[in-house]
Amino acid sequence: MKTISSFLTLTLLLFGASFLSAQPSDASVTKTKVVDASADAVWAVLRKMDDIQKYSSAVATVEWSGDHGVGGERKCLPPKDQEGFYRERIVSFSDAERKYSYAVVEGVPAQGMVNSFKVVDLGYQKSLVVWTSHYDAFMPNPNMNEEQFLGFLDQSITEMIDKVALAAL
Amino acid sequence: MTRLILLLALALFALSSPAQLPWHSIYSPTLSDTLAYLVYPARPLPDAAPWVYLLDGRKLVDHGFLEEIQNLEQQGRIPECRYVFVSTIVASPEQRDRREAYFFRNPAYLAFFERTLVPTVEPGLPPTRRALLGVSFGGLCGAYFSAHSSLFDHYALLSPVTYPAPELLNDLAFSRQTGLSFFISTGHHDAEAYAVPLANSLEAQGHWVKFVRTEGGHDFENWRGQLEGVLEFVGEEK
Repeated sequence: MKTISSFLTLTLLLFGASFLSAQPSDASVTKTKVVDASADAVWAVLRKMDDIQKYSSAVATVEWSGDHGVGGERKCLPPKDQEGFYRERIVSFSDAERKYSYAVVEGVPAQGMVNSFKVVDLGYQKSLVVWTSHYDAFMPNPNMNEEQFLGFLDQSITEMIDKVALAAL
Repeated sequence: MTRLILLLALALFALSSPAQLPWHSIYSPTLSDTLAYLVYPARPLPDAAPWVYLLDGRKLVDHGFLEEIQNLEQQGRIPECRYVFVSTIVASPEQRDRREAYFFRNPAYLAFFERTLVPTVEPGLPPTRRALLGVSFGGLCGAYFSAHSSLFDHYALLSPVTYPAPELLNDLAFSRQTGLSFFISTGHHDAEAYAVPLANSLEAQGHWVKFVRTEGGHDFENWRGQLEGVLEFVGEEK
């Protein structure tokens, strides 16, 4: 995980700002998990948005700027021994729908990446966390292919949803 | 002699009234539609005068925007500008208004501005001298233009309504444009739900945003009443 993460951060440094070699793939990824906690409890954790270092080992520090809603931005810095960062802009936020989306504007080898969290109420103190990711094109680079990138995403988000579920109990 | 002066005065009044200003037809290959635009004033202006393009041009003229501009000019309350009212009503027997087709993140409508309209009506100005004004869905259109084009440096988005195209905020997040200036306003029980997130997104992008709340509603009276503030904004140094 750490090796892949380091690869990723290096990739980000090398290719984060370049969209020239992007290959269209128009990929969508969805990850879900049933949680033994109410939708309100899970959403209360997720809606904070500025403390994801608690739920992701790839993130050590979050620097938040702007409103705590649409237009707000978080810069996610990795642990000390790693380089690079992600910059994510909140592009939708709804307490009523228990949902927010964020555009990854810098730091991934993918063009036009927008991810969303949504919490669905299943009743009986259970809920479903749905994370979706969509990007327009993967940016080929010498350090990581698209399959490895998707593997990194899968690991990262699985860890995050698991930890969010625990925090909501 | 008196009669002659009276006739001349009447002729001048007729020429300066909006009803008498000519609407020019323009064919857009990207839209495959023939649209119309009106330019005011016809008289020469100082080289530095900004050019203000107004979406929904026909409706704005019908709702007294041109008269209001002329009133403000006569009172010396706005800087000298050239105005281009751009209609969304297609030249056809049905006179269909295609504003929704054009305004909801339509790259062909942007191409119409970039490749056809602007090169036709003006002598090739820098973006710093161009402004775009849009009301309601026109605000959505303006924000979309700002994300994908460097044609305009200044935008006035009055009561922008963005729900038909939520992807607009993604466009802004991934835009390479920065340092543009925006006048964004909303009335009371108007477009607050859209104008505030839009303004926040634009500020996060590094644009200069002036946010204004009015007591008006989602109507032409409210928007017409903001013209002075909008045109001062267009003319001032940011």
